[in-house]
Amino acid sequence: MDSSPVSGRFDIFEIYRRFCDIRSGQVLCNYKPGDESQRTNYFKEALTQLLILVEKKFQARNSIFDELFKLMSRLDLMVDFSEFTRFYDFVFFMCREKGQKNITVGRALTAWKLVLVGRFRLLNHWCDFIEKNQRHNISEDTWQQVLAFSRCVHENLEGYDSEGAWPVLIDDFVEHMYSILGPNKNTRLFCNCNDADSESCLDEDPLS
Amino acid sequence: MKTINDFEQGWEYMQVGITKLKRFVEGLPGPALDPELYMDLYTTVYCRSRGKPPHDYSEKLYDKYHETIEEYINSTVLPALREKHDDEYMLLRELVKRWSSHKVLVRDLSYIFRYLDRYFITRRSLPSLKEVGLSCFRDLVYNQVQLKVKEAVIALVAKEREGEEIDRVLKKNIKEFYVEMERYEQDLESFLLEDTASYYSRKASSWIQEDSFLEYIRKSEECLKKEKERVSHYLHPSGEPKLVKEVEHELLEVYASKLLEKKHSEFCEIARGLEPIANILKQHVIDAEGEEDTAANQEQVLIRKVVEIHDKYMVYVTDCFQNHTLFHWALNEAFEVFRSKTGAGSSSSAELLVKFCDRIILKKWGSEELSDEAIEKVVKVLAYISGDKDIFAEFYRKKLAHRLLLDHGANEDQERSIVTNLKQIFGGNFTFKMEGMVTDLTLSREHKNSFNEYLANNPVEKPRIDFTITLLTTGFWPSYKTFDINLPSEMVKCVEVFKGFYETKTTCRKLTWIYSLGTCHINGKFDQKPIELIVSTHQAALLLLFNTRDKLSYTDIQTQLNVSHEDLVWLFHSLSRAKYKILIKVPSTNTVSKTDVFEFNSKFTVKMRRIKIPPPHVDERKRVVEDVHKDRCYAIDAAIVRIMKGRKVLGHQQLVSECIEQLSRMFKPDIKAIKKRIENLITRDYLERDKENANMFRYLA
Repeated sequence: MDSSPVSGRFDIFEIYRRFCDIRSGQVLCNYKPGDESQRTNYFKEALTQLLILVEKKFQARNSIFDELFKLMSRLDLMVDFSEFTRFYDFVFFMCREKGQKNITVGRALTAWKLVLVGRFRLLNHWCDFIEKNQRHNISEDTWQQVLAFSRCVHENLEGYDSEGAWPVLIDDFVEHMYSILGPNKNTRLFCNCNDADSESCLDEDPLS
Repeated sequence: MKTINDFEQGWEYMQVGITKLKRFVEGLPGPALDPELYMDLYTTVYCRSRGKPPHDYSEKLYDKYHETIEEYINSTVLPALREKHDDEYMLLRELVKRWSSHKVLVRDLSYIFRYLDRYFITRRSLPSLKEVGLSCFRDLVYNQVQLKVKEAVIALVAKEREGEEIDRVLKKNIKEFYVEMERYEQDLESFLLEDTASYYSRKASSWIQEDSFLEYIRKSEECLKKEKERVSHYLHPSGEPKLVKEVEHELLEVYASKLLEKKHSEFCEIARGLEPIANILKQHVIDAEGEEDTAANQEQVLIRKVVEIHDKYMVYVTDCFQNHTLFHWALNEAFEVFRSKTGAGSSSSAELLVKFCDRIILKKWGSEELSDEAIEKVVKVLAYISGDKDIFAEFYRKKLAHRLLLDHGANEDQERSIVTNLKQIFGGNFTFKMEGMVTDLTLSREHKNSFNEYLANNPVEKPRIDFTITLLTTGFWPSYKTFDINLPSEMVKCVEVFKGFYETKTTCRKLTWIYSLGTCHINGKFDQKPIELIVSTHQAALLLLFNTRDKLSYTDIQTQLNVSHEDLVWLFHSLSRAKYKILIKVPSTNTVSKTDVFEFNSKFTVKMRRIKIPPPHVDERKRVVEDVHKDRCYAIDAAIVRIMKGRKVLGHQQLVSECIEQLSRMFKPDIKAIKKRIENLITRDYLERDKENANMFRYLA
């Protein structure tokens, strides 16, 4: 992988560029294609290397969240799902500390409030719930599933499948929400993300 | 010519006699043939058949004999039989009658013509007179009527099968007639067998539809019996096995599979019928339990009552319900209800049962042998542990360890027999560790012996205090919370000596000392009298510090023992605030603080010469539950990995259900626990979510 000394500025944009390269598999082109497990291993290895580099070289002038916000405002995230998904994963990556696989609840909460605003109708409820109930760190799987959850669920919890493989944290959240909402699932009391435009932005391409 | 006339004359004379004979045979009125006439007739035949040809009329006479019989049959027998054609009864009777008179006729005629038999017939190898008589009947009568007769016989047999009284003598005669006709096998037996087969085939096909399994079997048995009885009347003895075989084939072999099917479904049907009764029993037992439940709130009383109820209803089930499985199930379910009920309370039923067993076992020991019955009783109660076997096992091991190690006069054989019983109910996996524990104790005794030998051979090594060790295998025993402590030098010596000894035995094993299980006997020299104190190793280490000084501060003690604050608090509690106050705490409050000072209580005294000071309290229950939880996590992990290793890619729902199935033998895992473990495994890179479908998991090798 590209572990060459940092040329020029090693800022959040550079890190994101490298992260995207790794994600898209460009750095792996010299490895045998087809060997899935090897690919995954190198993929992980590359990310770990990048993380070490970030810890060593990256001195953010502000907090990482400010940096992430800066990055977010430059990216055209409204265009498509996959672009946002990549950025969302990158946020998790940046929140990792000291080579840990999971991120702390505090960082996760700040990050969610930063990046999911306008994208997750139950965001405030979610953050309240996490703040009060979650003690353990947030795993990458849970992080990713929260995005999937935010995409498929409505504020009345329609779209949630209790049989699905949701992380326990999300199951607990839904249970908690049911207890607030009561038996009438159709109550529309919780339109916190009342920005109808942002919702439509998720579904339609504004450029077309 | 004379000779011809002579013959004609003679024949005329004879005919008179023969007519007489016929009338007699027919049973018509008239005198019987007297011996004189016989003689005359015989002489007539004799004279006419001994002359030299052409005066030998033997052939003519032979023909005449033949003719006479034929004429008799045609003129008398056949018309008589024809008359009776329509009624099988009369026909058979007539036939039998005709046949027997025919035999008489042939017999008497052949007396008269006997001289022919002697020379003429033998010389020419013609059929004998008797044979001619027989064959005449066969050719003329039998062949004409046999079809009709056969039908009649079969009809009769059928009538008898349906329960009609049948003249058995007649049947027997008919059978003999057939035998004499030499047509028995081909003309009667084979048809009879055939008819029997078709008869029972018809019967069986209707029975199998209409009757229950038991009824069918009963009917078949009845038929076989009757058929055997009947067969001697109308069949030759050789025919019996053939017939029985035929009947058995039609009734049983042909329908064997159908019968089995029927049997099965019918027993289910019966079972269904019994279900309501079983349900009533179940409800009754539950109610009875409920009553006891409210009456007895103390745990041990409750369990004892439940066992009593169980015994009581078990007797009903075995005696009144013929041990039917359904009732066992009902009883089982009723106790399941009890199980979940207590489970909702403070302590689970698994724990209560363990405590109960412990009590039974301990009560019996010391005084008398634990009877087999008592063991059985214990095990019976244990059989009701279904869902939380692992919790039960964990508690049981704890109690077993307690019994084995803290030496309540532990009886290894008894323990082993209980464990064997448990093994039968729950399987080897369940009791593997328990067996290991009991075995450990036996092996440990050997170790003790060889250690003593070792000490005897190395007097230099011998420590100043007596001590024994129990060598346990890690893994079999419950995990014990133990903390390190700076032991007094005497004990350190002991530990080292044993280490030295153990290294001579084995090199690749690591010794871990569990001081919390140890007991020490120390002498307290109190003012009034010395008292032997039985304390734990930790307590002993603490008390021995007071050998040098009477007063010690908290910090002194802590630095000397090198024990954490929390552990020390419990130690102080057990020695200064509990029943026996060996130490005086200054200030005398209930909480231990780091500024406290402790003093040896020399005024302390009790009536006994020896007292046991309870060891510091540890919350065993909580630890057991934690241990079980931890074990369950491992078990779930293992199950998930095992399943995924085989399937590589699997849907979430399927994975969960397979997991539950695999683990159900030990406990009932809840779905949430499984989901948590799946997430954990994803974090640990054992699994990953499918990129397209979040409900699918992939195994990462």
